[in-house]
Amino acid sequence: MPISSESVLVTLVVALPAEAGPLKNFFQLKPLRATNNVFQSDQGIRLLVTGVGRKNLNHSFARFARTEFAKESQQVSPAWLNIGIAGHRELAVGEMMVANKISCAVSAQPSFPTPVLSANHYGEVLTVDEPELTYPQNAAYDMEAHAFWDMALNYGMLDLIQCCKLISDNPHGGVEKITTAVIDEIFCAASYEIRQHVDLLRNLAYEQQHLMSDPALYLEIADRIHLNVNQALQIRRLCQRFVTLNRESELEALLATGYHSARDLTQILRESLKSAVKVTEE
Amino acid sequence: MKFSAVYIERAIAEHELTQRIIARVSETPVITIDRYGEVFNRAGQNFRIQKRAPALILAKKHGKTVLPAPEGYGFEQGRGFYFSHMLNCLYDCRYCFLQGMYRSAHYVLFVNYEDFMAGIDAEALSHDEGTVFYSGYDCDSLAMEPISAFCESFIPFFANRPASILEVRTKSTQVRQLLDFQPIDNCVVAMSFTPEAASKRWEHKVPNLSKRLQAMKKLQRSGWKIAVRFEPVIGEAGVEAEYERLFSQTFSVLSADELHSVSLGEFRLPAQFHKNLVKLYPDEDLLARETVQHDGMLSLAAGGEALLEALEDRLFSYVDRSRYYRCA
Ligand code: SF4
Repeated sequence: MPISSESVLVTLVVALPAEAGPLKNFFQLKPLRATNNVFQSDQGIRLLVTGVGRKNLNHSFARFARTEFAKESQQVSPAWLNIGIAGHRELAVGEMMVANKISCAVSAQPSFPTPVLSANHYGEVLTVDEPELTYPQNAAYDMEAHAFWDMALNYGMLDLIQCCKLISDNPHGGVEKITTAVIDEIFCAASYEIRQHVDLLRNLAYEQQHLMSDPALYLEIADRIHLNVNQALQIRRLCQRFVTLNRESELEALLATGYHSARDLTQILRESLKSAVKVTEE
Repeated sequence: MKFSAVYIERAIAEHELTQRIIARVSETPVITIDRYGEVFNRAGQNFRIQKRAPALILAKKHGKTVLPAPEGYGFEQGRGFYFSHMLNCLYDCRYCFLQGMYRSAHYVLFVNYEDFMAGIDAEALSHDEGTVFYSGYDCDSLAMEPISAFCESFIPFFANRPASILEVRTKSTQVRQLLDFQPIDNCVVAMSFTPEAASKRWEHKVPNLSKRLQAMKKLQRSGWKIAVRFEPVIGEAGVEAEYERLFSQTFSVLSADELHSVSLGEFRLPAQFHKNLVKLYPDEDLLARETVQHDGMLSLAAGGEALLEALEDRLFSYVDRSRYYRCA
């Protein structure tokens, strides 16, 4: 089910323009103004094209972090998905593998994406700085995943940071055979799985964003009077409790009767919630 | 029983129980890790998201395996201890403190049962007055029996230690393994119950009341000692009538005279855990209700002493007071 969202829910991260092409088509992504490597839809999906390797990825993230979009909290997505081609000793070209471990040839610390996505193949993604031609380990060899994980952690929710790789080369078909057309073909063949992953992440991100959003009546209050951080937290939670307890109309009525200050309002809301407590035999 | 993945600590990869479990979940992706904390204890995890598809983590418990039980945790029968061979639970009760205590919803199973057993022996030997060991403090002890082989391992162990009592806390109907054993006198199976409406509303994935009562009946009939824990009591309009119905349902199936013990306990949890629960479930009515705080513990304002006394009065028309204790 399409979610029409003002805010960004999922950011897809790819290294190559050739990987970005099919994704732009699948999700109807349009270039974001004043950038040349960021694309976005009105369905809560954004695409960041970083260039090959850890350095380029870090640089792209840093550049993106300086844009006005990244400074607005609703423009930083809870979910992040790194999709890209990778080499593998055992998997056939075109297969998709979801990462359950991301390691790096030059860093000892592996990361473990939460098993959220369903797939036929799961495994380790090993990030290297040069294309791997001999596939010594039973892992998907890529050049960005490890840096992606570290960077995405600064912006997204740990459980919604995911990585999946499409196998582009193996001992039977080496890296020299990879062309833009081959990448396009691999991505198109995997379009159903890619859409499924993106949809799931988008739904989970939407649910989280919805849970964390401010109650409408609280926003009205915050618009009307000045609240310090503490007052804001308290009044927000009190409003949330009215909503959750299905007493929104009561809250509306209380607000309509007027209040002098944030302190006064906190007191009124507290008293009202307290006075409703009774255990009676029905 | 399905897991989204199985993480295995390198150190126990060859342990017999690990090998047995891997064979049972052969379709599940296996990931080798150094210490369970690198997955389980990470900051920034979301219990609610993970609860959709938890993974199983097989680990080794280091350090102390057996700890003193909190005051008033069980029926007075000797010095109380608890041990947690597992962290987290198959079920998903909305009031469960585990959601507020752990950062992750994955299940951790400590496979080095031999170290728990050594810990139990050490405590039993150093206390002459008799000892009770509670299992199921941080998990449900029976729910994962086909994987954990908990009863399979610990019932024969306690059978050889008649001076020590094992109390197994559960909401599960997985009693087949127990029924396959000869009942032992020093094991108590304690099942928690809330009224049917509360269970339907908050005890997600827990077997229904009548199935649990039937499981307890089977145990009682075959000679196992069983106990009933009416907790957590959640005070709200109509709750006394709900409990009257629950007591009547329970004692029409189970023989009250043969029960090991019966208890009542309020919905209480540490204030910080409540705060964590609210963050996860701001949309949950139970967690939006008015609370009162005492010594760092939160309980519902719509509960308290008067309600518990009223429920106790009703309960005593079914059960003798000598079998009763109020859970702290
Ligand atoms: S059965 Fe017990 S341990 Fe399991 S979720 Fe429910 S309250 Fe928590």
